[in-house]
Amino acid sequence: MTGVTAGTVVVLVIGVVLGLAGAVCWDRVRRGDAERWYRLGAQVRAISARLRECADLQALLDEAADALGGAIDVDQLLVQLVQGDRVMAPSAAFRRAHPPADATAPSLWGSEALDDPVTLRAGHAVTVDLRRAAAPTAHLRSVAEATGAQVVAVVPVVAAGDLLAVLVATGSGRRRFTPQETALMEAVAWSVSRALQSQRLGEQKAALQDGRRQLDRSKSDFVASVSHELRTPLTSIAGYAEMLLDGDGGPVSEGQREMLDIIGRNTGRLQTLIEDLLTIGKIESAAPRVEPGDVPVALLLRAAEAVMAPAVSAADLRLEVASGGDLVIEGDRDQLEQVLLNLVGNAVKFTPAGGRVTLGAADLGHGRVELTVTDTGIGVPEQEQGHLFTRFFRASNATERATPGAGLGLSIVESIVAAHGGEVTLASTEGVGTLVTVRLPGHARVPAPS
Amino acid sequence: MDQRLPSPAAPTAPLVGGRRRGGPTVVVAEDDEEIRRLVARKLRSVGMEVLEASSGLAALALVTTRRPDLVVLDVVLPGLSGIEICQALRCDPAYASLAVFLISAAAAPDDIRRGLAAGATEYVVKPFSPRLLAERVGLALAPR
Repeated sequence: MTGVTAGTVVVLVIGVVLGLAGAVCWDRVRRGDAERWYRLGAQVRAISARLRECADLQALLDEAADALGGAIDVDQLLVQLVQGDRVMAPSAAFRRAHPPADATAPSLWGSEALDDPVTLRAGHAVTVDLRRAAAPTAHLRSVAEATGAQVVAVVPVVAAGDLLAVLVATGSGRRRFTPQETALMEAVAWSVSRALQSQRLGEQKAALQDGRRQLDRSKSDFVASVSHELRTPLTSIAGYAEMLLDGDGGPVSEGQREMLDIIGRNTGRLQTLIEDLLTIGKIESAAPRVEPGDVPVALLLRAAEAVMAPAVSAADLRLEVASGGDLVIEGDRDQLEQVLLNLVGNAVKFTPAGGRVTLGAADLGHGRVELTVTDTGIGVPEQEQGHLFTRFFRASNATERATPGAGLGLSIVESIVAAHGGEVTLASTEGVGTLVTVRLPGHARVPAPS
Repeated sequence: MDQRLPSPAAPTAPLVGGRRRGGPTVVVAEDDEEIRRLVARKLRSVGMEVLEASSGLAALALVTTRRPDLVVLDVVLPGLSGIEICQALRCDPAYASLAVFLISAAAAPDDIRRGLAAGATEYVVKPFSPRLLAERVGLALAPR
């Protein structure tokens, strides 16, 4: 009885001791694990900080390889970009001293098919012990050949479901990679993914801009060549019509004269349209190139007056033009002249006989000069005033009256004024008249010190 | 360019009917036949003698053999361009003061500058009025 009891006690004691020992060991394992995870967090933070410092993508890839290679006990650490379903030769590599082979030697790498993409594409790391199993993919076979690796961990770099790159850690004659090590690689993969994405976005943006520029160029080339091609037949039409009208082809009857006049007027319209198209093409291909200089306002006003005088008298209007004083506008003379001609042209076109067109200029101070074109014309319906600067828009009362025009004049004005750093506004009352105000950088010319 | 064009004093082609038979002589070079005839006809209608050419080389040959008083050149011509002919003429003292009108469908300020820089007396943009062109030609020929 005693023997039995003593035996039981011994067994119990042994059991308790073993149990305690087991518990202590398990606790140590767990604590060690926790410590390793804790260390991992610190490593991730440190590496992320180093990666953030990188100036460009290649520097970041190099840094990622170095940082990971330093943190994990590997023979080599490779960063390989993925294009489509192929893995490219390493873009960056970390090598411990005396590796079996130089992994970056280009002869060792083709672009290998990533023929087991499912796991990687889903964002999961793959670890393979090549001593126990043959390399399952062409990519891993090439890694094994190039590096002599016996253990490989592959961590995908993914973005929005796309596999952009892989981080490959290789080892030899040793244990598997630990979960902490693959976790660290995954954390770095995330940083690499962000960098690749931002580079990819940058490239897409650049390609888009490039495409747009090219489109703009070919569009303005097209407009220029079309305008050029239109001028040649127009020369014949307008020229021969004029010669007939001048009696160069024999006497012209009254009825024929009327018809020839119509041909002449319409070739004139076509010509204006061609000029406008060319200007628009120029403005679109690049903001109108402002060739800056101090342009005397008086000169601009005189030029507009001289050019418009025949049209003004033909329309039986009065044109009043301010002197312009000693004001100058900072800008391109040709373009500023075009602004005034378009505005005065509109005023003349839309003002019935007996009306008045006024050209004004004023110094607003603070480096701004104001030009105004006022007419006593048909005005613009209020609800349409907002659209007037839209290309090809024409006010309903203009189309009703069949006043010629393509709806380009004001949009040209706005583009030029904007390119000069100015603004244009329009106030109009139907049946009363229109006031267009253009404000541009300018000033009163300071008399030169004598 | 030091090279001299054949001297106007030694025409290589015989003149038919003498030079000063009618009014002033004008060479019109334009490859578009309708426009060339338009200009020629208009200039003839105001009493000028017009010699027509449809290429740059033909124009240059006419200028050097027929001693015109004025040349009207399209800028785009097969062979030599109007600009090149103009430059060639300006490099030779014998033709330095010959009035040269360039006509062109290229109407950008840069095109016009290029034409005038080549030494053109006037740069006429297509489409142009034949009447006004004839007037300008008349003015350029008027004794100053």
